[in-house]
Amino acid sequence: MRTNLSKLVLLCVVSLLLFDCGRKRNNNSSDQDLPTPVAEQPLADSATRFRGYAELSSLIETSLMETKGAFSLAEYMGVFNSQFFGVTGIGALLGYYNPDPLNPGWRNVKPNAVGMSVYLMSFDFFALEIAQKSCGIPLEGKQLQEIALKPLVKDLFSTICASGSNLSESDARELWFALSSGLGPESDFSFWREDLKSIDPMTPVERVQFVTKVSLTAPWVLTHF
Amino acid sequence: MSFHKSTNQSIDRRSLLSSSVKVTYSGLFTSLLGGGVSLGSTFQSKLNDVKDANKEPHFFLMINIPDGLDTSYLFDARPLAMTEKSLQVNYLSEAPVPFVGTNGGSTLRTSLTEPLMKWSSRFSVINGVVMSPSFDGHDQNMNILLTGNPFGGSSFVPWFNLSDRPIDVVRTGFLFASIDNLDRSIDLNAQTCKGLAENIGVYQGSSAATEAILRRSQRNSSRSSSVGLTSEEIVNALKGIPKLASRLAKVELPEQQEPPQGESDSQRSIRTAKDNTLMLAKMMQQGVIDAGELILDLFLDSHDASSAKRLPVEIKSVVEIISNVFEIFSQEVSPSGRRLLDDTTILIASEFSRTMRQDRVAIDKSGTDHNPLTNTLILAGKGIRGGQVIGASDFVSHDENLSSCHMTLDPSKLKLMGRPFDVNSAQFLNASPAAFDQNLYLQPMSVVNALQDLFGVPSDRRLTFGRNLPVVPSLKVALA
Repeated sequence: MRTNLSKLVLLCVVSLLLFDCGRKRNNNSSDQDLPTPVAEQPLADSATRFRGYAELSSLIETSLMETKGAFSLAEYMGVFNSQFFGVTGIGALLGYYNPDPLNPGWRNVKPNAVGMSVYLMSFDFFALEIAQKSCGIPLEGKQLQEIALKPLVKDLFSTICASGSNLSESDARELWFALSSGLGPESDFSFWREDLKSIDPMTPVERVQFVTKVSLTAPWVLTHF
Repeated sequence: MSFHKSTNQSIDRRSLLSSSVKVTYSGLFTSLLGGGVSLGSTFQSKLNDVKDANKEPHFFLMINIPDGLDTSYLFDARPLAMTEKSLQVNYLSEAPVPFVGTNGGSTLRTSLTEPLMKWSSRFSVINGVVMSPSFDGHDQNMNILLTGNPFGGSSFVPWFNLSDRPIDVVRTGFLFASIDNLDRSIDLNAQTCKGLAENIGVYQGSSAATEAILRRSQRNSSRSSSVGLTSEEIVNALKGIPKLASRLAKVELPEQQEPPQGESDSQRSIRTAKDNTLMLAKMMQQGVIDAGELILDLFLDSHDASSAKRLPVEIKSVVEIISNVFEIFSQEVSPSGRRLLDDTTILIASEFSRTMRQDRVAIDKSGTDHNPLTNTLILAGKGIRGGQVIGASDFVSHDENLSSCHMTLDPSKLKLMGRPFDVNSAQFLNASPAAFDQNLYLQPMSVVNALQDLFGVPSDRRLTFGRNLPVVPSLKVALA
């Protein structure tokens, strides 16, 4: 558990160094600025692990949000909330840490059909919030939660809404880096850039949803190292 | 699912969250997954969708009765003379009757079992199962029942998903156990099942996104890195969504009614268990699952006298629930065309039984405590040789000479204990052990291993006596 926390702290530090809130977009950023991706590490042990729900929610918050403590992915899960799944709650479906002294360890941390469906749904709804903040798409009804995107992330999504895949190379890299929490392998960037072209005929909301879902379901986002 | 096309048109998030949306798939998406989806088909073609022509359907249902069920109120009763001698609590206050199995085994049963007797040829009673000589906690013994290890581990139930359904097990409640292989199992009940069915396929969103996700995951699938392995798992999970969604859509359940006014807790437990039984039956019928766990919600942990006095009422509820399971499964049609009960193996178990009384408490004011030295398991349905009484517990009369082992483990003589039993020959051992020897007693792992044999689970999953110890012999006599 301590090792996992220290790795998360390291990721936060890396993300903060590269996505400082006041930093302007740098059109001259080079590949050398990107840290060595951890996504291509060989299998450390036989137990690969999907991130537990709470850990994933925390990672998204660290990567995309300006402030900590206010974001919860569960807010976007609609009918799939803890009431839906009874006393066991969303953690039992999407992975959690069981501190049971008899047999402590992570539980339910492999992807399953229901869990992936829940994640896709929640990322869709999360994207609506992003679209509202970044693209000025008004949403009726009470806010699910106040989210304050990092200014850079907010700006990049604004560009997505307005210009589709027509991002500069550096902007595309920065958005990809933010959404993959700094974990994406270099080999994936060009494919991601290519996939992005699909959004051009879409509406602004659909564009944001596409980018959000495709990026946040990346295996290097969903895998715990 | 369609989205508003105009940026000027606002989107009502609440309506989006709460709407019931039909499942739709693009042809490109389904072709990418290499499979079509059959929607809106007739009942016969539904059976054809589900049935694998080369494989006989074989389902598993566990009726899990947490809290420690006092089996002396069912098929391990004691004569009233034991109560008269202040040895055994009996708030039913009736004399039990003999129950003789087709194998010559015998026991005493109470009048509470009467509703089950019409099914007696379909089930066998296994008495005298020793859960543990030392651990007596709910969680420790539930762990033993499900994993063979008091500290928990992998439950055997998901291993019965031999058709590789997207969901291993649907469980209808919470269990106090430490299980580490429920990744593809979900907790559902009849109320939430409909919501899942309506929503599960919807949130793939645009097919372009899902196609991109699949492409990326497939590109990264390999077994040489953590990410590669997760990619493979993501692909399998995503491919499971349309199959699961289409099958869940065919699970037709009656509309949930408002609970009747003045419904007691027991009545509520019976009603919800019946609804959940029907849900599990329909899910098996439609190929959503091969294995289900019906987890009962009754208060059976009768440490205090008032709970103990209520036990006959609670256990009557247990029997009604089990009886409903047999009724429903004998009515619902299996994909084979037979009845579900013909194609389903059922295990009914609690994590342990209870003491006969509490120490130094008047017999008519006594509660009962945990007793892991004996338990009763019931097997029924497909592949089970019904009508048997296998094994037995000791202390059947007030003057029985108990073994040294029993006296060591239970010096106050508060408990029943399983009799020494040879699993391989299914014969009682003429032995009075001085100490507990796991080779001399019937343990739940023997029942679980017999079930694994029946289902053809790979042999490396048989439960053992412990780390680096031999496999526990399978109770083959229970099988047809």
